[in-house]
Amino acid sequence: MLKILSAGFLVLLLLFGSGQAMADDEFIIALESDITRMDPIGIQDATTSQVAFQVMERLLARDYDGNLVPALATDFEPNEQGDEWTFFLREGVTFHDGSTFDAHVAKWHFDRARGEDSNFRGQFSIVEDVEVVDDYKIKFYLERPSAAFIDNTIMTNAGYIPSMQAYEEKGEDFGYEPVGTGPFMWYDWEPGEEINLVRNDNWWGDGPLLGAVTYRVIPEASTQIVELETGGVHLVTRGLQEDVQRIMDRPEFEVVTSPAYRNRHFLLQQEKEPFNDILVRQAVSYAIDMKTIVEILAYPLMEPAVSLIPDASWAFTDDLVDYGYDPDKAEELLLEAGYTRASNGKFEKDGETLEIEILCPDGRYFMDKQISEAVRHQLVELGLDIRITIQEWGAFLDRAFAGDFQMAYLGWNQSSPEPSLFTDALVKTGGRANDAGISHEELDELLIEAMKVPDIEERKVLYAEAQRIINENAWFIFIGNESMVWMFPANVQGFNPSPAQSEDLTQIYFSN
Amino acid sequence: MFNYTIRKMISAVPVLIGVTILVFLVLHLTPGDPARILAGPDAYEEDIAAIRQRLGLNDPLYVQYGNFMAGLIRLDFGRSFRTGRPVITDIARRFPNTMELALVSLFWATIVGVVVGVYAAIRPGSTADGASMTAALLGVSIPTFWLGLILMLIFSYYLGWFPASGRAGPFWTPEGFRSIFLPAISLGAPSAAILARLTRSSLLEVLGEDYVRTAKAKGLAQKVVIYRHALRNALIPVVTITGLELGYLMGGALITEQVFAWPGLGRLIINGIYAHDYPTVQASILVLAGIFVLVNLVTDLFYAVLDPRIKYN
Amino acid sequence: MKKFFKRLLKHRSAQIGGIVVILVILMAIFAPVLAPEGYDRQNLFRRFEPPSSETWFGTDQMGREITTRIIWGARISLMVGTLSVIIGVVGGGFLGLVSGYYGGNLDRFIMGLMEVLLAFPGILLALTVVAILGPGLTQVMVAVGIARIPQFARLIRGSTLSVREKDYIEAQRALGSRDSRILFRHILPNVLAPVLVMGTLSIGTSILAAAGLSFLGLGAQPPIPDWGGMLSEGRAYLRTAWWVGVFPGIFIMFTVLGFNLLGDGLRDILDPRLQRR
Repeated sequence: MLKILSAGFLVLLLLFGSGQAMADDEFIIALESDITRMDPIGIQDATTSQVAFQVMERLLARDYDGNLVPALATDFEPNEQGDEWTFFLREGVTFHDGSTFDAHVAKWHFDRARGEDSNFRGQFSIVEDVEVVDDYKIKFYLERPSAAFIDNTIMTNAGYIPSMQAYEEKGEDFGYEPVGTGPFMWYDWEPGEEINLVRNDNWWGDGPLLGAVTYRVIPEASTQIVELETGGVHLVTRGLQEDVQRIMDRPEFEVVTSPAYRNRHFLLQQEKEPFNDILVRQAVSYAIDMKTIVEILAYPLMEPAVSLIPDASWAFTDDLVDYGYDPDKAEELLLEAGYTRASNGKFEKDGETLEIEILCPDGRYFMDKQISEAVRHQLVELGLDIRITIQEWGAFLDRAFAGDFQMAYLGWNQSSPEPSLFTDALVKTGGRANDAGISHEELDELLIEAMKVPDIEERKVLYAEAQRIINENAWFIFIGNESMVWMFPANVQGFNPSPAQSEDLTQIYFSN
Repeated sequence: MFNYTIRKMISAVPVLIGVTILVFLVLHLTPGDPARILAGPDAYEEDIAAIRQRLGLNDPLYVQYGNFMAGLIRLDFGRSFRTGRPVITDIARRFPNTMELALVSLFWATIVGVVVGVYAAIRPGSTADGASMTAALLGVSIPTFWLGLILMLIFSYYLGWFPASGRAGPFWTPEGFRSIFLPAISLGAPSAAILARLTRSSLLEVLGEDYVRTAKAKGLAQKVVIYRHALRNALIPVVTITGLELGYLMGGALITEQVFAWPGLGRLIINGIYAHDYPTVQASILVLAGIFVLVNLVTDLFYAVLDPRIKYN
Repeated sequence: MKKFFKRLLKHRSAQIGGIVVILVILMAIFAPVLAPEGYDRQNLFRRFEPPSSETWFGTDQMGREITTRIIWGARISLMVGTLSVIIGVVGGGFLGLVSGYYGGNLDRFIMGLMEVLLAFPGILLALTVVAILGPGLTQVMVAVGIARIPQFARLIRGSTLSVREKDYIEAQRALGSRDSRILFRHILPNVLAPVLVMGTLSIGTSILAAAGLSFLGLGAQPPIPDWGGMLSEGRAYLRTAWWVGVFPGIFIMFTVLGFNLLGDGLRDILDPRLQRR
């Protein structure tokens, strides 16, 4: 049936003249939303960052496993204390506009990233000064030693280095016609529709083999899949479970999934009733069969998680308290916390039913609403009164940051296995996304210590202890780690996507 | 006539000013900090504060409104919070697409509506009349987005005749025509239904009036009576409603655009509302309201020309 | 009154519309009987079962029976439809009466305000109201209701104007009756007929508008079985499980159709201008 239909479609396409003539070496990628502005110090969203990655480069890049590899810098070295970092820059690199990349351009850029117009002053606040040592050597002076300086600062979006000459020449248009050193050059942009890049023949690295890369903006996930199936795009990086499974079963397509550094969890507001009581936090954790929920509703796009640090990170340990599904234990803990079962089966204390509101964003995270509904259902069956509030992203963020919730569906995305990116933001006292006001002295000490020691094995031990403390306190109910997925036609060769960074397109070619 | 036009135009100004105030207040009262949305969930507080400062969100509301109005007078609609591009360039790009969709929808809706209406009116009580009026009633009862989804399911997923989404070019090109077909059908369906019902009842009413009876009695052929005399008068209210429908279609396109990923003003507005991109939303809504007021004005004038009973003072 | 009902019962479209509306109302009232298990019985192991003799309309993405959710959803749709029209009638009625009765600058101001509201695309008005108040059923009703106010205000103002100059009102005024008394005792009853017609027709369009809001993700909070919301969720599964989105749409359509038919009937009977035919 499907064959006949698609054959019919082909005939129609021929009748009406084919929609888009595709060049043999043009690679088309579906984007969920349009890019915003390609000035690195203002790039805030993943989509723009993904496109910027093709046009501009950072000092360093990552390999498949997330290890740092040379890019615009061939090497780097910290001093012994870890508060001075020297980068040796690649020689003979030119920007797409012909200007030369050297330490002066790099310093200009990093000074801009620390300056007035930057949206990354937070990340760069640790940098006290940037010094040009010679034409191809640059040195960062830090306020204090930091083992995560590269991850926190150099590998951010503001780490992409654009052409200084272009900035001086183009003024306002600089962010809309970016000039970098990357494997692909900016060609043009039809806002809301598509972005066109062409090959940079002078790239310093190996490749690229493709002649052009086009990004098409297609907001609906299901439409992206249709386009993939009908040949309108070559790469789709999201989809509903049902669609992904269907594509997996088709031999003419390849599907690659990989656990990503993207944690999803319910954060319990431990400063307010009822979750200020650890027993209630633990009880609710036991009452949810999260593994089943995630496996049914979201696998393979999300995998169950047991820790705040993603499974894909070197710092992950599973030697932790296991809050597996155990409704009897949940009931026991609630009784211990002083709740009693009323005649209607609901838990109550001092005559008041135990009521909990789940705050959830509107489709921001994969299957967030459905997972919340399933969780609600299980908690209701246990005998709790659960209300879901789905809020639009802006209002959701307002409430989340103000700590104005009991139980909130939250996520934390990073593109690096570095554990401090998770722990220091989410559970350290005063962390920038520590929305439930978590403050645990022993944990803080561990986390500070872990940033001082450079040795990875020692750090592993410290982070394992940190994860143990986090789980014992049951501040979170872990939902899962979102995976990344790449779906493309089987004739696409040389594509080896990694969760550690945006897609490396340089080795891609089409086989026939 | 001229004075009437001028007076009407002047009376539109306070309405548009009212719209600016309403849009402005509504956006600023909506919970959600544009700077925080822009900066993303993993931003540092100091960066969010800096963005807020840069966007002028720390100024008192009346200052922000003043700046907005001062810009408007200079025809400067401001820059998008999200992209930093002048809002007017985005609107200039999207607006024609929405207009195209609305006009194509209105075009087929008017033709189908009037033809079906006339057809039904000259055979009142017949099966054809009943069938077409039932269809028309369904047309006003159907949720347009649902109709869009059903059409998409049948004609693009199963039959593959039309693309499921997007705009492939202007409607006079083959690809463009195929891409606008489904959105235009689903957007225009209620208008076609309304116009069919209206044409029918209006024509029936006119046919019952004295002068038509006289004409008939004088032995004029039924066709001549209907097309020469009755239709002209019957279409006066139809013209009015057609005009108003254009205004509604421009607004209603919002949902249809969302269903079919049509790159129009509606999607710009919805994305703008989600991103709390005040300048984009303010300017886009003002443009839509302006069109609505303009269409009403033109309809009024048209009506005045067609119906000599209306006095201009 | 008796005559009115007799006419209504004889009118064909009113008959059909009335039957459809009554069926939906019955479905809403007897939801606990028709679907005693409630609208949120999930079974994650029975997701996306196609329609069969066992589950008439299939199951949805959470493994819930779509049939039971549609039955319970009738309550939501009726509530949203009627309450938002009541908001529109009360708000618009008040403004229209005052505007039409007092005239002058007050009239000009109120009608100017209504024009501003009208120039604001209805769905956008509702969208922004929901954005301010947050999502939820009550908010949707308020949003749709506010968007209805200008229509009713204009309608009632027009009727008030035509009644105001009538002799008996003049007589009341001469007798020194209070304005509020004249307004509510004498003018209001006279404008009720057109309001009843437009109100009935508006219930249908309000249900549609609310469904549109739900479609944009601004409807009732889960797990409330709101037809518009069910349809909106079904959109993602259109190709893999069409029944999730298709059936709620059919029910929206028939409910709206019912109110439209009934409204048409009422208009034929109550609107003297059209009564000739």
